[in-house]
Amino acid sequence: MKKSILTLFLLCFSLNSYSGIDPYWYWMPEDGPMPAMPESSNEKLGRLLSALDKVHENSALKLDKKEKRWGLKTIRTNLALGLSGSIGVKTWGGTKTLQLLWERKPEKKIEGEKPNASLPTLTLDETSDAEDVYNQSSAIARALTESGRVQNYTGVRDQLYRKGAEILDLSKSLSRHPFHKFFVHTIRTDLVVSGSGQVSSFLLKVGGEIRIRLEFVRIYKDDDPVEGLFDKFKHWRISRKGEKFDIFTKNLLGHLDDLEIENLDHPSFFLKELRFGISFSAGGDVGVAKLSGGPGFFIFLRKKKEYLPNHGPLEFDNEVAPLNLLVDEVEEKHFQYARENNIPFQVQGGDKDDSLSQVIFRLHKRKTKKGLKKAVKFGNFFLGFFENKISNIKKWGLYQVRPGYEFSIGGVSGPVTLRGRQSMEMIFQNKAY
Amino acid sequence: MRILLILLVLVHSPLKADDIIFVGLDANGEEIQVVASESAYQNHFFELANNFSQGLESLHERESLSELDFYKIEFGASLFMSFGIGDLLKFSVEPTFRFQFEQYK
Repeated sequence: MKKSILTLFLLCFSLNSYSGIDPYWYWMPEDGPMPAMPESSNEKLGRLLSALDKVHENSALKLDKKEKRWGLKTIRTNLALGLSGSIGVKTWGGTKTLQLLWERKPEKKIEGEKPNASLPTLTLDETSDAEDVYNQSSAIARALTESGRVQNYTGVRDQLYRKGAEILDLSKSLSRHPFHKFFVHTIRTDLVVSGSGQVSSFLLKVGGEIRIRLEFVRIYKDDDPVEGLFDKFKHWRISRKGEKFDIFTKNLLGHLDDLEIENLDHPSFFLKELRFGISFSAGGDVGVAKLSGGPGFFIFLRKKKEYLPNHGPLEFDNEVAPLNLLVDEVEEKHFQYARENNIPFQVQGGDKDDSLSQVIFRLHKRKTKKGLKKAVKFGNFFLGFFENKISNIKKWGLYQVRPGYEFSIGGVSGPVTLRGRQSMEMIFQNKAY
Repeated sequence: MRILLILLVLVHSPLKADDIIFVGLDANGEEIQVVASESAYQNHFFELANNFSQGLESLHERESLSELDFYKIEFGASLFMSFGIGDLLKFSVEPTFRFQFEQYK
């Protein structure tokens, strides 16, 4: 009897913990009817975020002593959204919903880009050519070989070169079209190099690996005039893969042009970047990735400071082609939903029952637009909890908030849940940094 | 028995302002939630960050870090915390973090 009451007591202790968000945010139309509203209130979420804010600030300030050589600069914490709408600090498996970066405030605001030195990086820009890729690949391969961590110098150099050349090829298509509100700022892929010199995707599990980041970063400022840039790259020839990427980015940017991003400018935060996880399918099509192995690479989009002025009718203004969504492990109910809602799809790489097959869903413009609008609203919803606290913090504050989103067959449906696959991230930055 | 019932009523109140929620999936893919008080979490979190901080200072004293001329170091860390009463029912969580340390000028 006593044992059962004690168990009940502990169970209540656990159940009482519920802190959730409205199912409106994470509901996927293809997963069934809208679930009932949970009894929790968003006030509890505000308390959770406030408590985390306090813990991080207190810890950082206690460590901040002048006699030390090393100071804590950034704390990064992940939050996760459960399947019932519960949200909290992420632990165990699953996908993160929200990344929170707390950082010591600079004495004065830093102008320009902050260097990202967490990984060895092969960096390319619009002045790079094949020779630059080769030279950088050789330098990285040599450094790894000389350190004794990799045996096969030639293998690493050649594989890095191939990957780098592919990124450069994709980047060439980015300057061929005028964009209204956003432009592609960065293309990134993270690679792992094994001891034997095998280079593979970052997201595959490899033990004792060396990580290398390949990045194409645009060197112009986002308020530079657009016209000249297009002229500069008109003569470039791109491969078939590059052409597919070209069509995809054009469609993606066409969808984003409809977003009311003006709403994302908060008193303390601004939308710095949008990040999309992208992959090529077995058939060579490119799409937003919702794959068990993760995306092949990421593209980062930035808001233009000034929207493109009268440029005449843009070819994607009225007729935006469907956006590709690349999915594996599709359930029968998802196929059924697609058929019922006239969403075209194509199975590649085998039969649809084959676990290795990939399915490309062609997302309707109207639904995608609606989904992206919801993503913007969710970003605003979260930032609302932080706005009041930022101004009170003297030394430590929330530097970036990064909500992650999952695409559904019916368009972007909201934040990614623990069991979901993140395909898009919004990066909001505190204006004080 | 009475004390237990009183505790039960007291505990089954709305989420307290100082609660930190932990969410994750178990080995079977089922969702689990655990709650810790802010003060318990604060203590564990500070201890973890402080261990890294002291470790860096101590490495520097041995000159192993200064020789390499690092100015920024990033740690990925996980914190194992266990909650519950006795051995009857225990909850454990292991949230992960990233700490970035920089050398003062």
